[in-house]
Amino acid sequence: MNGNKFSNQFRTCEATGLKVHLPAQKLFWVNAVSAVVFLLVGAIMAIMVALTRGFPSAHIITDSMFYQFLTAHGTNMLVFWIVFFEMAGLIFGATAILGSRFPAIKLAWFNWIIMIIGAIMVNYSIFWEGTDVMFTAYPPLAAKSPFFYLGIVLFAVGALIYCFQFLIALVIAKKEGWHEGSLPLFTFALVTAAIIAIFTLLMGAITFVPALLFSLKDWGLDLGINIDPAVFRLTFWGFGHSAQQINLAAMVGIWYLLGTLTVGAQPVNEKLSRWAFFLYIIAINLGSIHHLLVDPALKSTYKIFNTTYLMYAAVIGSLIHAVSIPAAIEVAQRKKGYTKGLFQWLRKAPWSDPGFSGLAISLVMFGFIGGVTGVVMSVEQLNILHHNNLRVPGHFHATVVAGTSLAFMVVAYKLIPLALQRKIVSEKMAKIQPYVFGIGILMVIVGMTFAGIMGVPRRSWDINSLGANIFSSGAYSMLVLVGIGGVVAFIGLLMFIVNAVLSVFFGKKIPSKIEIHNPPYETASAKAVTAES
Amino acid sequence: MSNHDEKEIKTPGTFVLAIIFLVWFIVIYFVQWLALSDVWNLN
Amino acid sequence: MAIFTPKNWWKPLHRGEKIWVYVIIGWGIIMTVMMPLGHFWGQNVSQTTYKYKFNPEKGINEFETIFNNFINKYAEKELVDGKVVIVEGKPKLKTEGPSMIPIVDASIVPKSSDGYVHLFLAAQTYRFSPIFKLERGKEYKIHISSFDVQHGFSLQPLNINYQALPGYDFVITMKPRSDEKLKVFNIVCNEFCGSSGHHTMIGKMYVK
Repeated sequence: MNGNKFSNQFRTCEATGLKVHLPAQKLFWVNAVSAVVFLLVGAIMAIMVALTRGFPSAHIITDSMFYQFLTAHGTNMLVFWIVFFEMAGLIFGATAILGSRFPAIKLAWFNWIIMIIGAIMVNYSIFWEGTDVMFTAYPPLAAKSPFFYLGIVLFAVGALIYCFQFLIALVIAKKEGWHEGSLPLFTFALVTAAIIAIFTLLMGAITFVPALLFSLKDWGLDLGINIDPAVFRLTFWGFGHSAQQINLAAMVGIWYLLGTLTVGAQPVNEKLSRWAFFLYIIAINLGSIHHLLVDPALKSTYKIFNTTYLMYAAVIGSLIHAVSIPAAIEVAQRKKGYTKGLFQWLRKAPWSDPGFSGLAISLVMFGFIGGVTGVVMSVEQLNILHHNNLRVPGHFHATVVAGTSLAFMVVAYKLIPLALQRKIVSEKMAKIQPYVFGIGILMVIVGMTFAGIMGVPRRSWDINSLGANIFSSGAYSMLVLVGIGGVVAFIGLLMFIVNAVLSVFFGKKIPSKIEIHNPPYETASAKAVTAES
Repeated sequence: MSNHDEKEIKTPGTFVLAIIFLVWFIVIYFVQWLALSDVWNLN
Repeated sequence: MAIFTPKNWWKPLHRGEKIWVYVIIGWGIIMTVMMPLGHFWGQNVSQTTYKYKFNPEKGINEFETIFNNFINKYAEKELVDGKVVIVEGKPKLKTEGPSMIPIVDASIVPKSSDGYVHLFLAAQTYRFSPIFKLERGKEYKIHISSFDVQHGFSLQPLNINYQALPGYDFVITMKPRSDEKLKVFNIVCNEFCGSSGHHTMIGKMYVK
């Protein structure tokens, strides 16, 4: 056994036997709490937007407020909530899962600080300066000041450094002898996410740094830069869609983790699952062209090539996971004796465990609704019927919200006790929250999808302003469904946020053994010495 | 440990769910093409 | 388990897994082929885009010059007693709606050298100009661009959507079908272009 100067910084979790690096746990804590704070901001924005679109004549908020709130909803949810949570996940995956330490703790805190500053800057630009350019910020539309772009760049830099730290942590785990052999599947999923993240954030830099430099003329510094709108769209979506693939890899990794934690599922064939993750890395990056299918200036050949075999390789990856995870659950359940008929294993699954119900709802809604509508929308010709109407948010609320966000929320119910040592304050509320949120968001998705099919545009404050008889009455009914569903989903969100915050700050503390944890394996240098002798 | 020669499918429930999903996918996909042909003729 | 390192995970696939993988690869190939097939059967999204230069002296790009010439030539003029109304040396255009959009009857636009009638549609904050009067069964090449920020061209109730970018001219070939019963089509903007008017931005097409 080697000693290691970090050996006295660990605790042992009594439930799982996992060794948790305490300085990493503090980092994990702060990123997770930050995530929930921005989730709350995004949620309040969500209910305002949903009610305004659902009941447009009521003019619940003014037009300028609506577009600001919509921008805030997009950035706080899609960027800050999800990425802070993923940073917490990266730290957890590199440390507790492997029984290893997180390197350069001070640098990690610095990253968190610049991410927080970035997030606050963006929100400042939206709420105080009135920036309403939407999360997509397409030029020639301009934010009200460089703060918007600067905030995004700072946030991205912090996240990028975290990704590198994560990968270095894995190398250190091997080198110092904390971990040996293949990475567990969950951590492997996070590696996939981190690699895609590095590409994503570099694309983000190519997109937003020129936009930031261009915006500096608001502060009197004209650098003579011009942003071509078509080029911005291309690089933005190189960043924007790859970002969704990060969320996808993280979500799928969490699905496997939830399967293990709820029913003891083991992946039936890890080789297949790992190949599926690998497909994500190689296939997604150019597939982002599906956002530009009805843009001028790109040749059809280029659009089709990138949208087809490259995109579909990623789709095949997802279709593998879509079956691999239920199969793992079925095998685990059948081992417990639930072998009657085709579906006893499913009926007898722990549906009152939010980890399982959330996993099931997330997987089914992501697959049947999000995945299918996404692939359909990405067909060059079919995109003509879809582009920029309300079906597009319908699609991505099925993937990012019902899929990724719900998975994140229910895994938090598991990780708050496991990693933050606090009991969940209300198990009862946790039990029903996935169902409440699931039904609410399903209503929102169905409403948006059918309203979009009937032509309703996205990002519009009041479609009545266009005149009478533009849209059918069915379209208006669908919008009402969005409004009502929004209220239910908002309640579902609050149920999670209140429970999570109360638990993290006031939940019953779960004690842990503080004991020395020495790296259990031979270090690389020790191995070299052994080999020589 | 190799189950290479097993004749039965070990996860029949999941297999059924997978087929249901695939059928749903194929139907939605072709319905969309039909919707498009409403506005865009095939030559 | 997903959280513990497996000892040896490189195993061959079970029969069920193999079947599924073949099936989804097959489906992926079918979907991959559908798009080029669509092209083969005549469904091209668009093959022509022009990029316009910005003229800093005039403060506008070439598309605006072409568009303004087009409107001056073909837009309907206001007539009083059969005579064209002149205001400040220029004929007064007939307009429609609160955004005062000029109207162009496409039947007076002659065919260009390529055999097509070329029409020019400009997206501006906050309207689509001009309003076209089209004929059933006739094919038109419509040039769509924007004068200012990005706009979304969304033809209702057909739900045909394209992106209008400033500096780029998107040429779309369209033909109102001979069996088309609808006479009025609305163009809605579905790309956010400004908080005060994006939701009011509209255009129209009439089919005779």
